[in-house]
Amino acid sequence: MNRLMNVIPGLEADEMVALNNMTMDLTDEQLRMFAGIYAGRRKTSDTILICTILGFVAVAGIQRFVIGQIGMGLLYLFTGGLCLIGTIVDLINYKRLTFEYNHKVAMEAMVMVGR
Amino acid sequence: MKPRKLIPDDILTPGSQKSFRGYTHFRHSYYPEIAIWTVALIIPAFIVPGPETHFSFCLFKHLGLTWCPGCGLGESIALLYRGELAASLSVHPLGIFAVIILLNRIAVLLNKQILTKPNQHEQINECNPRP
Repeated sequence: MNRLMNVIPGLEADEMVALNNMTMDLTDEQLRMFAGIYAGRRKTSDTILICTILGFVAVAGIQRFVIGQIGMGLLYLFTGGLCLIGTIVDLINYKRLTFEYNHKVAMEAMVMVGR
Repeated sequence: MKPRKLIPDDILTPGSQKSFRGYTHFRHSYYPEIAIWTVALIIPAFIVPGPETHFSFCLFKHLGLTWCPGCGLGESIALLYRGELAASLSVHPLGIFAVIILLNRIAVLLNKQILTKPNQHEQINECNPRP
């Protein structure tokens, strides 16, 4: 069955499929290490969604800072989320943004594990 | 049975051009975001610079707010496309910054979209087992 689901509960389906393929060749020891690093760094899509909604009521662009896109974050911050249009784009797009970030984190974790 | 190696060793090497292939049904497409930013860069090319000369895309304005920090960005980019750098900066100082950042974002997304193209013969995982 799925080894990762035991270590990181709350994985999303797309995430799980990608991680399964990535970690297929890891030993149990390596997998535990990978899961520890990954679980500590991944963002849940709920976080990104809440940060995006903040763009309607307070400051726009926090979601872009959170996922490490500083340039986009600054642009959103100083233009009110591109006149609200960018914020709505991210509201539709938040799952993809989260996946993009988590995939990057998984790649880094793989390097750290020594694969 | 020993699992077949799906990921080549050099995929994680920095600068490696090899892609991670493993996404199947769940693979995300980045094209919607690419399309939106491309449109956002093309629209200002048709804006005639000047006050109130074009339909405002600012949703704050349509909601009834009189001021918004992003207004003038389109005109600024339009002026930039016409080569009027000083005017562009005076209308909205972030016009150049916006073009650079959006172009960069489009490039990054296109890179991901093309590099992570799944190979039809390697789409094997728990959801799509080997026949």
